[in-house]
Amino acid sequence: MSSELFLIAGYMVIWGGIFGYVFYAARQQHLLAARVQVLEELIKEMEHRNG
Amino acid sequence: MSGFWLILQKDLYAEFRRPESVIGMVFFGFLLLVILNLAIPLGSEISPETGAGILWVTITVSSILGLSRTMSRERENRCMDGLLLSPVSVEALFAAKMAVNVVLVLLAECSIIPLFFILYGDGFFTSLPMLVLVVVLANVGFAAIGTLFSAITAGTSRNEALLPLLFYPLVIPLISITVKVTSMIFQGAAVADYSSWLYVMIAYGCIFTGLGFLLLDHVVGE
Amino acid sequence: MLIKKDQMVLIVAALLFGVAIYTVFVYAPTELVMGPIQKIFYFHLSSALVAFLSFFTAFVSGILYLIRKDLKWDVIGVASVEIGLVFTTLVLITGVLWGRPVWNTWWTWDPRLTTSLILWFIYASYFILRSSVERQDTRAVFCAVLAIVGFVDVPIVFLSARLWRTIHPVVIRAGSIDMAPEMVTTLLVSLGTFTLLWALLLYQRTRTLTLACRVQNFERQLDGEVL
Repeated sequence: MSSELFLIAGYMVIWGGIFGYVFYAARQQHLLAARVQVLEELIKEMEHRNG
Repeated sequence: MSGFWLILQKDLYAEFRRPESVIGMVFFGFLLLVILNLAIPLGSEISPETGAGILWVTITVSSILGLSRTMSRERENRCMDGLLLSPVSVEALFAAKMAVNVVLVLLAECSIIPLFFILYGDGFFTSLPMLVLVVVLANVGFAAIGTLFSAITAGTSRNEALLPLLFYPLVIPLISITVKVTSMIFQGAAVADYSSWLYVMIAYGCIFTGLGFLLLDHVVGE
Repeated sequence: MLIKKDQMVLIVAALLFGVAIYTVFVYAPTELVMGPIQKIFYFHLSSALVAFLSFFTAFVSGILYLIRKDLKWDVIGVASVEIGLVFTTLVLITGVLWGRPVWNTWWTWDPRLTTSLILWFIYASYFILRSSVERQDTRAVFCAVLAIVGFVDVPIVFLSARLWRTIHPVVIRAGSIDMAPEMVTTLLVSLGTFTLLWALLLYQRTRTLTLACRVQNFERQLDGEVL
């Protein structure tokens, strides 16, 4: 019985780990996209101001 | 070649004038030998494995004090820039610094090892030449990695505090082999029983000395 | 077009994962001695493979960085060490969970587990080193050196791990299990799936980190112009 419990725990760890990592990667990418957007707007603004 | 001797002389002379590295290592090693004694039950004999473990924990932990000084000493007064501008090759610099490390740790061990036998019993004292051989081989391995990584940590913001974190994971295999061989020497085993591990220690020293020669150029160039 | 290709790979990976889970739990027979817990072995070994692939990639990109001095290789190095560290952690945890019911102990100083643990320490220190250097090119050189030295250390670590404890419980080794043909197929499927996942993760992380690097440089440049 406890053997199955450990199996379930093991798989939870693997899936949790992989999904956690993928989630972390996706979140970083989102944050980065937001930063790029801010930069783009800033550049547009600067171009607008310069002429 | 003359550059090698010059740097070696300079560092050993500086250490002779103010032996801060060796005294630090010996003092700390002595302290560790006393502290580790707490783990042994009262009035019981320790096994050769435990003895070898205690000896090498003491040596590796105390030698980090000396290893971390080698390169940061040059960084402090921007002496490294001068060394790099001088006609001394980086290979000679690595060889000299590594030799300094081997000598300084060896000097510290000359006090720590006798203290170990005094505190933990001289029943382990079986073969002096083999013990010297193992100590020298282990020192070469520690010095090779220690020199390369002390050059790295000297270039970081955390400086000397970072060296143990990088150094120990890499030398764990060497420490475990050394402890094994030392415990067999303590037991009085025949040389043939552990000679294959001595070859592994030699290989370890050669590999990381070679890597140090190859990589130090990149590291100090920064 | 590029996005479509990305999505295709993602869909294939997801499908493969379904197949892998199916083969592990339904197709593969239950091992007689260890019981259902042996099923953890397929993904345990696959994670170990991914970790090893990652560290090898970090080693190669470390060498390439020192030769070419192109920050691209540094980024690939970080991405692979990061992935390797995640999967080494998974290997360690599943190893512990596997060992508990079979050997009745959480941890054994089995050479493979010990090696994984020491590797975990070496590559975790990679990130400590990384966080303590400010300049980009200096950091890249230091990290490349650590990745190279760390990988060269691996065979010696494995060799010495056999010495770790001379008296350790008689363990049932993966290699000594007589694997039924279905088990071999299952193992191959999950190894393939994890390799694809590894390639995907590496590609994605490298792209993100490259972009992050560029954005950071650009922001610095912009700051300079504003000031």
